Amino acid sequence: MNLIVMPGSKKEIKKCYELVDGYILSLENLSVNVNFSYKEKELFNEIEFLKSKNKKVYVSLNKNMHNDDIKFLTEVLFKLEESNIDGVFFYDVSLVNIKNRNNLKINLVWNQEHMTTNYMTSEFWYQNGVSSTMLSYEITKDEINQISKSSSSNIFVPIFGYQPIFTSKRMLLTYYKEEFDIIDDSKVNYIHKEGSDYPIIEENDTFTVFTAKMFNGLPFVNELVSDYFVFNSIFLNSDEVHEILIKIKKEGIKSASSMIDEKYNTDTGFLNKKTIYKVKKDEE
Amino acid sequence: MKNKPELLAPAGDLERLKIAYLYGADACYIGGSLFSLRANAINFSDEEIKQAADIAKEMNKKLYVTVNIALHNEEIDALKEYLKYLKKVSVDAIIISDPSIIPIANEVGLEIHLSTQQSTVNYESVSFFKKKGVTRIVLAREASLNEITEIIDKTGVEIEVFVHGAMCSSYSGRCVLSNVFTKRDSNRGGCSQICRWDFDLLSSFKNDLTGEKPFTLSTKDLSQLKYLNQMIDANITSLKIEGRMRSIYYIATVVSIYRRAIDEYVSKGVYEYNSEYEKVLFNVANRDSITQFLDGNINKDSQYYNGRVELSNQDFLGIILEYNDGYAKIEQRNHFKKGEHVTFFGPNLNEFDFVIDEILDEEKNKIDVVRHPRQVVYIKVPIKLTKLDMMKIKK
Repeated sequence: MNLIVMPGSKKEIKKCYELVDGYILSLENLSVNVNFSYKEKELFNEIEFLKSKNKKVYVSLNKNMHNDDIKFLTEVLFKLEESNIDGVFFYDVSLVNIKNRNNLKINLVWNQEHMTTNYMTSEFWYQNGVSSTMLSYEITKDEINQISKSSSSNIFVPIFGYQPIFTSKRMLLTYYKEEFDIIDDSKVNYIHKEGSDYPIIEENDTFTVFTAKMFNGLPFVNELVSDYFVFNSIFLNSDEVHEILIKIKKEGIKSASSMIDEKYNTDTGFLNKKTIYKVKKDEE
Repeated sequence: MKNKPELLAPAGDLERLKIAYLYGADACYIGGSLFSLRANAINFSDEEIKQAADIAKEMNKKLYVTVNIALHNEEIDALKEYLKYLKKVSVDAIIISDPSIIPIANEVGLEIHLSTQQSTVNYESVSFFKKKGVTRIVLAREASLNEITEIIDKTGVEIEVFVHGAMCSSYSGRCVLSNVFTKRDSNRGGCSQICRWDFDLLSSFKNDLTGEKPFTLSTKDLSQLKYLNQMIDANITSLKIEGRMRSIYYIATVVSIYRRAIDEYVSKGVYEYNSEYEKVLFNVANRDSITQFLDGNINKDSQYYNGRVELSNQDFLGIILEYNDGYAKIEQRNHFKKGEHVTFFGPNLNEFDFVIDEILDEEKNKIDVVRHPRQVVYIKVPIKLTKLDMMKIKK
C-alpha cells in the first residue's frame, strides 16, 4: 500500500515521515479544506526536507481560482516545476491551461473532490495532460475498481480521515459570530445535528464542513485497486497519527483498523453504500 | 442601441416552458429524464424534449438541455445515444458539467455550454474550455462584475450569469451535505437542501455557542435587478433565472419583470432601478434577495438566520383558460372569493386591478367562494383577457 498523507500539522511530518510514502502539502492562499497551510518559503523548505528523505511530495492547490489568483498561481507552478515535486493536486481547470500553455513539466492530479466519479472523465483529463486522478469519497468500492482498471491515469483513493463535504467562499462562521456577538477563539468548531458533530473551519478565506464520522476505509484496502491511498489526518494530533501509522507498520492494516474503530467514531463512507440517484415521488 | 442579452428561464415541464416563452424568455433550459440535476423536478421525457424543441422553433426561441449530473460509470454507455437524440430533435445546446462529455458532444455536433457546477471564475479556465469547443460558460455565482468583465475581455467567450433565484451557499459542485445526511446525491439531482437546516454551534470543547437563532448555512436569494444595466453594459450574453422546480406563477412573474427591465434599459439607454419591480419579485418568492457576489459585498447580512420558516406563496389565484363575451374562464390556483381585490397580468396585457363581483361555476350557477384546487369558474371581467394571462391578489 502506497500511503500518501495530508498532514494535520507541521509537527506531524517531522514525527511520522518515516512511516509513510509521501505527503500532500498546502500553500497559503491557494489551498482549501485544510486546517493549516505553509507560507511559500516554508513550503519549499518542507519540500526540500521531504525530498532529502526520499519521500514523494505533492502540493494541493485546490481552491476555486479567481482572476486575481492567476498571477500568483502561475508563479508558484513555475517554482514547483523546479522543485522536483511529484505532482500538484488541483480542483480548478486553470491549472491545466497554465501547464499546457507554458509546457510545464509538472504532474497534475485531478482532484475535483465530488465530481471524480467515472472512468471517462479520468481519461479525458489524462488526454489533456493530467497524469493522475484522485477519486471521490462518494463512490463505491466497485466503482473505484472499475475506474482504476479502465483509466490510463494513476489513481489516488481516499482511505482515511474526516472528509470535506461543503466548501464555501462565505465566511459562515465569522458571519454568525458577528451577528450574535459570540466571543470564541476555537481553532475548530462544530455544527451539531441529531447527535452528530460536524467539524467546521475557516482557512484561506474558505469555510469548510467535514464529515462527523472519521472515514475508515482501511478494512477495504486489499479489495481496492489503486496506485495510492490518501490518509487525511486533519483534526488529529501528531501523537494520534503516529500511533495509527505505527500500528499499520508493525501490526498490519487489520489491527490498526480495529484500534481506530474502537477509539474513534468511524464509518466506511460510501464504499459499500450507493447514494440515491433518482428520488421517487413518495420519497420526496 | 445597446446589445440586448438573452433572457434565459427555467422550465420543469411543457406548461412552464410555454409560460416562460410567452412571458418573455428568449430561451429556456430543461432537464431530461436522464443525466440532469433536479431529479425531483418533473423532468422531460424524450418525446417531451422533442415537443419542447418544436415549440421553441415555432416561437423563434432557444432551447437548452441540461446534461449536468456527476456521471457514474454505469451511465456512460447510454450517454452517446442520448446526445444523438438531442441532436436529432434539434435542441440548441446542451449544458454540461462533466468535461468528458465535450468530445462526444463535439462528435455528435451539439453546441456545448459549461454548467455553473464547474464553478468557473477565471479567464484561464474559460480559455481552456474555449479551446475544447465549448461556446458558452455559465460562470460561478461567486463571480464579481469586475471578474466577469475581465473574463469577457480576455476570452471573448459567451458568458452566462445568474440574475435571479436561489443560491447554493457553497461553490456549486463542492457540496455533498445531502449525500452524507440523507444519502441523496447532491451532484446527481438529489439535493435535500441541508444548507437550510438549523444547527447548534459548538466550540472546540463542544460547549454550546448557539446565539438567539440557530446556526444555518443558508444564504439569501439572488436578485440582480439593481445592477442589470451594468451587466448589460458588460456584454454578458445570457442572463439566467434559477428554478426548474418553480411554479408557472413564479416563472411568469420573474420573467416578465426582467423582460420589462431589460427592454426598458436597452430602448431608452438610461436605467432607472424600479423598486416596485423588486417588490413584485420579493412577493413571488417570499425570501429576501440581495445582489450576492456581484458587487463583492458579502457579509453577515447575506445570510438567513430565521430558522426553517418557508412561507408558501398564496398570491397566485388563477390562470385564464379562455375569454368569451365578457367572462374569463379561470382555473383556480389559490382560494378567492367575491369582493376580492385582484390584479390581472399577462404577456400582452397592461396590468390592471379589479374587484370580483360575479363568479359562476362550470354549470353557470352563481357562487361566492372558489375554494377547490384547480376548480374551473367564470368571472365577469370588462377587459379582454387572453389564454395564459394570470390573476393574483392585489398588493
